[in-house]
Amino acid sequence: MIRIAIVEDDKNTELLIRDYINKYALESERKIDITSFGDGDEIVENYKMEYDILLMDIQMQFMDGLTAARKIREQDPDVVIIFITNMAQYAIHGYEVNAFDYVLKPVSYFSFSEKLNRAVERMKKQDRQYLTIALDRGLKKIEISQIRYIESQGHKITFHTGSKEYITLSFTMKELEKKLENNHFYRCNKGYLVNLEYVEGIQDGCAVIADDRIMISRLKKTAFWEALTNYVGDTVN
Amino acid sequence: MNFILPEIPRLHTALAEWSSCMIFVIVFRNRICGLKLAAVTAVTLLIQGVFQLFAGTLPIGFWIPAMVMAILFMFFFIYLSCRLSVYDAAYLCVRAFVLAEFAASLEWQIYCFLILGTESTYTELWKVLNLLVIYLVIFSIAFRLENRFAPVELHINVHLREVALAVIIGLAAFTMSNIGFVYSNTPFSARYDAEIFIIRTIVDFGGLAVLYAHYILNSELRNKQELDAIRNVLQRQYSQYELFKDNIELLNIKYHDLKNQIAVIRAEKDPEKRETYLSEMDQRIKIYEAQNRTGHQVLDTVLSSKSLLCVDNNIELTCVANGKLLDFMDAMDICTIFGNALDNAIESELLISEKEKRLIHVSVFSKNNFLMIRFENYFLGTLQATSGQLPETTKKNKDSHGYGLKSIRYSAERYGGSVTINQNNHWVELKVLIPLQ
Repeated sequence: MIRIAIVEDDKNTELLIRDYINKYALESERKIDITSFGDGDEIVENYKMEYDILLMDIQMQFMDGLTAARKIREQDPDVVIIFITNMAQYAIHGYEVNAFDYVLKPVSYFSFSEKLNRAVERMKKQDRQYLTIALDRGLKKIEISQIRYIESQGHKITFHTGSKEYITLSFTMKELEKKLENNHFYRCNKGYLVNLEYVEGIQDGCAVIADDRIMISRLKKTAFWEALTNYVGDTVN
Repeated sequence: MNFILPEIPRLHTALAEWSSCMIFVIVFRNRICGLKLAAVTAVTLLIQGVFQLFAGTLPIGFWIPAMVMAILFMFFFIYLSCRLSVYDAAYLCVRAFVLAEFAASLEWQIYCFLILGTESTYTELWKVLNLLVIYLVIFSIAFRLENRFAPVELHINVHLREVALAVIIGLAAFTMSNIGFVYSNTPFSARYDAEIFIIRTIVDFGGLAVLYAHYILNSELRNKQELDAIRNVLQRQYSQYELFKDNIELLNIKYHDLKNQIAVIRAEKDPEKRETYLSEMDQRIKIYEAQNRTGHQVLDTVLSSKSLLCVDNNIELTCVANGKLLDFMDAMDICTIFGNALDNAIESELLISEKEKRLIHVSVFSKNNFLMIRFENYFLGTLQATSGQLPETTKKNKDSHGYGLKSIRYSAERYGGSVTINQNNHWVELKVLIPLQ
C-alpha cells in the first residue's frame, strides 16, 4: 500500500491528478491511498509521518509549496516530494527540500505516471526487515538497516550496529552475502560485508564508516565504486 | 657435432602454444571466468596435446597443413574465450604463435645443450624439469609485460592493416626460423643442427621483439589519439559554454527592455495591437524561463543552453540540482559532465517519435560524503553494455565518436570519482559519484 497526499488549491488539477493516480494504480496493480489538502498550511498543521509521496503545488494562497515542504522536512526526512507547477524556475529550488522531481502543468499522464513510478521504485523500503541470529544468550532479531558492517574472524561473525555489537557463530560470510544481497551490502574484502548506506567516504583505499576504516581489497576496488555509485544513485536524494 | 639433434617433442610445442594463448586469455578475460574458464582451458590443453601428438605421426608433407590447423586452433581458443573482434583475436593469435615458437625453441635448445648427451640416469626427469623452469620463466615474463600494457577497455581494436602487418612479421619469422629444417640448401639454411637451433631461437626472438614493439607503439598511438579526442570534447563543451554565456547576458538586457515595453503596451489603445505585443512578450518570457537557477553560474549556463535545445525539440527536461555542491569543481569539468551527458540524452530522446515520451531528469545532491550527479532519460531501445563498463558508441565511426562518455569518466576520475551507466526498464541512468572532501 502506497500513501499519497495531494496538496493543491486548484480543484480541477486535484481531480485530474487523482484520476491519473487511479489509472496508474490500476495499470501497475498497486494499492494506492490518496488524501487531498487544499493548501500548504493544511498539511503542515498536524502533519503526521504517514505518507510515502507528496504531490505538491508550488503557488498556493496561504502557504506556498516550498515553505510547506521545508516545514515537513523538519519532521520527515524520507517522504518523497514531487512538485506540480507551471513555474519551472521555482521548482528548481526543489533541491533545498530534497525534492525528487517536478511535473509541469498542464500535466500529461505519460510524464506524470513515469515520474510517479520512478518515485515508487525508489521509495525507502518502509517495511522493516530483520535478521535472526543466535547469540550465547539465545536468539536475537536485528533490524537489517541498523547493521553498519559485518566482520568475520575465523568462525566468529560480528555484527556492528551503531550502538552495539553482536557476536554469533551461526552464519558464514557467504550465506550472509547471499541473504543480504538485496539490502545493499557489499563484500569489500574477505572478512568484511559493508552496508553501503553507511559508507561516508573512501580514504586511502578504505571505506569510512563512522570512526572505522575498512580495507577495500585491491581487486574489488573498481567493483566497490560501481556498487556504491549505483546505490547512491538509486536513493531518492 | 657428432650426433643428430632430435626435433622438439610435440607435447612441448603443444604446451607452449597453449601457455601463450593462456596469457592473452587471462589478460583479456571478460567473456568467461571462474570454473567455466578452468574447464575451457583444460579442454583446450587436452585437444592441443592430442592434436600435436597426432600431427607427429603424419608424413612430413602434412607439416604445413598441421601447422595451419594448430594456428587456427589457437585463434579460436583466443577468439572464443575473450570478447574480442576477429581482427583483435587474429592479431593476438599471431603474437601468441610467435611467442610459443620462441619458447619451445629456446627450451629445446637449452635442453639439448645442458642435458642431451650427458651421462645422466635421470634424463627424462631433467627434461621435464628443464621444460617447467624455462616455460615458467618465459611465460611469466611475457605475462607481466602483457598485463602492464593491457588496455583498460580490454580490446585493442586493430585494423586489417595492422593484422596484415603482424601476419607478415610472424610469417617471416616462422619461415626464416624453420627453413633450415625443410630445405638444407638455401642461402639461409644452416648446415649443422646446432646452428639451426640457434638461428631458429634468434629469429623467433627477433620476430617476437618486432611484434611487441609494434604492439606497444600502436597502443601508445591509440592512447594519444584518445586523449586528444577527449581533450577536444572537453574544449568543445567549454567553448559552447563561453558562447552561451554571452547570449545569456544579451538575454538579460532584453529582459529589462521588456519592462519598458510594458509601459508601451499600457499606453496602447488598439486592443489588436496590444494582443500582438502581449503574445510576443509571452514568447520571450518563455525563453527566459528556460534559464536555470541552481546556485552555480556555470551549471546554470550549461543547463540553460541545453534546456533551450530541449524546448526546441519538445523534450521535457526537469532538473533538481543543488549547484552549490559543485563549487569545488573546475568550470571545464562541469561543462564536460553536464554538457556531454545532456547531449547524449537529448540525442537519444530525438529517436523517440512520440514527443510526450521525451523526458530527461537531472539531479544533483549529496549523500553521506558524496556528490551524486544523475541523468535519467526515457529510452525505448536496449543499452549495449556489460555491467559497469561504459557502453560502446552507437555511432557508426567508432574511432571518432564515443568520447562523450569517456570524457565524463575522465573528468569524474580527476576528483577520484566513478561513473556508471545502466538501464532500468525504459530509463537510462547515468550516475556520477564524486567524494566530497
